[in-house]
Amino acid sequence: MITIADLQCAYGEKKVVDIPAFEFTQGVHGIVGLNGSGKTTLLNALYGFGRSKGAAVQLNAADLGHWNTAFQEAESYFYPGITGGEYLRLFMLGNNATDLPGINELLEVPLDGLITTYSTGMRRKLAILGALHLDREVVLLDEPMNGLDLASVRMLEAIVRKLAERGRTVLITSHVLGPLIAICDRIHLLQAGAITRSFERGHTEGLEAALFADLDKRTSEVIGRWR
Amino acid sequence: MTTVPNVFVLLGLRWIQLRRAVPPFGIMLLALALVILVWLLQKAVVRDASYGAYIAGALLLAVWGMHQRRLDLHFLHRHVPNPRLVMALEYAALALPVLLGLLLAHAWTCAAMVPVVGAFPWVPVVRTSGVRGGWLRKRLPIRLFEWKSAVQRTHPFGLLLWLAAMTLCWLPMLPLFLLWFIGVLICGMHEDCEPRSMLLATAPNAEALLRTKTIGAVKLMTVIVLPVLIGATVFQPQWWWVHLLFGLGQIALVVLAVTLKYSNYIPNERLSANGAVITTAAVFAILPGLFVVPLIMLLTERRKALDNLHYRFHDHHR
Repeated sequence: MITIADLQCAYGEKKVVDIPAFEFTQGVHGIVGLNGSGKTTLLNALYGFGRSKGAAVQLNAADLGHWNTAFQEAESYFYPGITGGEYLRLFMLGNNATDLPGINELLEVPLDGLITTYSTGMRRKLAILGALHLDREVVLLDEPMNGLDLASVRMLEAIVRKLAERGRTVLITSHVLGPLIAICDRIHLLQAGAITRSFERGHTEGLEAALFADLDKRTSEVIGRWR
Repeated sequence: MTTVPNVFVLLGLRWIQLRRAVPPFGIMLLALALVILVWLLQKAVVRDASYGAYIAGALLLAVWGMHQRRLDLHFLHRHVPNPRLVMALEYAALALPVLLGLLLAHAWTCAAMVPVVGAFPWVPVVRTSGVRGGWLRKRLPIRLFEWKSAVQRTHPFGLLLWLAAMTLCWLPMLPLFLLWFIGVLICGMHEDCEPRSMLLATAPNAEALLRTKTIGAVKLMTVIVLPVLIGATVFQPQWWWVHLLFGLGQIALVVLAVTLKYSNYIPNERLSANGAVITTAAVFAILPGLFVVPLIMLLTERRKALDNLHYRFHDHHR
């Protein structure tokens, strides 16, 4: 279980994340929020970066950070001039218990090719493979579905479910609600850096309305002023 | 506010990048280093006229390589008016110190070769999507991915240079110059910063990362320079001390490139300004005895690199 206490993250004077106390139980958690709600900053803080002094983020009473967490970042930048296989071989510090060749049979990333020749989707899959290769107790996936085709999203759903079966805690952010609702045990709504509501699996009816309530109100106000 | 004419847009941008990356005192030092470079070039060519051809040839080769590898080529062609002219001006600015050195030494023929750099933007750029030097990159440790990238970008050109240095090791100076050029190419590959995930996967902490990278770079550079220097010493035993100091200079240079990368490391960024510092250090590294200059730079940068890496590894509580 991940326990958060007094977590604050700020860019200069602007507070981006403010979570006094929260718990993520073992399983798959979705984090949804509009642009600027603090999703990536929250994942960064769980990874060990940008936390305020006094913040406590723990996994089963031990400090949580990049040593026990795998993080697929939203930005898919890779070092130029290396192949996908070379990139993955770098991630050898973890347990490496994941069946990487098996997973790649599904994802079909051309590991012998240069990463610079990959499409956006292939780069995303490679970043996911890298995170899986570390085989850490906590897996953070920031917008993993961006750039993936429908088949790959379906495979990713199966992979994430398998991670949960193996006792991992997975946190996923996404703008696409469909796959999140399908795979997550709980979905948390992040608004202005705070987790305002959580929805259990099978009880996500009010999620979309809650996510867009403020936006819909402001949009109708602006559009209502049109002549 | 004055507006920079369009053809100078790239030079203006480089100036802004330099000002952001280097403090005013550093810019003054760089300017001083450039003056010293011109003076040294002039001295060298006056002393032995054959150096003029080597220097002009190396400049043409370096700028040609830079043009073939430049990452912003498509961007410039799409978004900048007169892209070729803009690049030609950038290359002309790079070649200017060498041209001045040659002109001051009255090496008119060699100096006449230098303006050819202005024509390079009109030379078609050849890019392949295949993996280069597979057999060579398999022998390189994965944690030294900069070297794999160097193979990708320079193979087989780099290997041919090394073979030329090896087979011509009976000649004075030329093999050293070729080794120096290879060293500069390798140092140039340390300008790209890996994403944070790669940094954290390379080593468990800042000290271990810098140690792994430094020891690896020293070993590989030794493998590159040692055979040529041994060969050169067999043919010119009286110059053993020059070869020794040159070898140490090259090792100091590559360690400086590694250290400089991590002292300015920002995930996913290209540290173009490091190139200027490395070029300055490279000038000193080729001169016997002056390899202490990169060593002194190394001492100041090492603490900075460790501090920056500590921040990248341990930013738990800001």
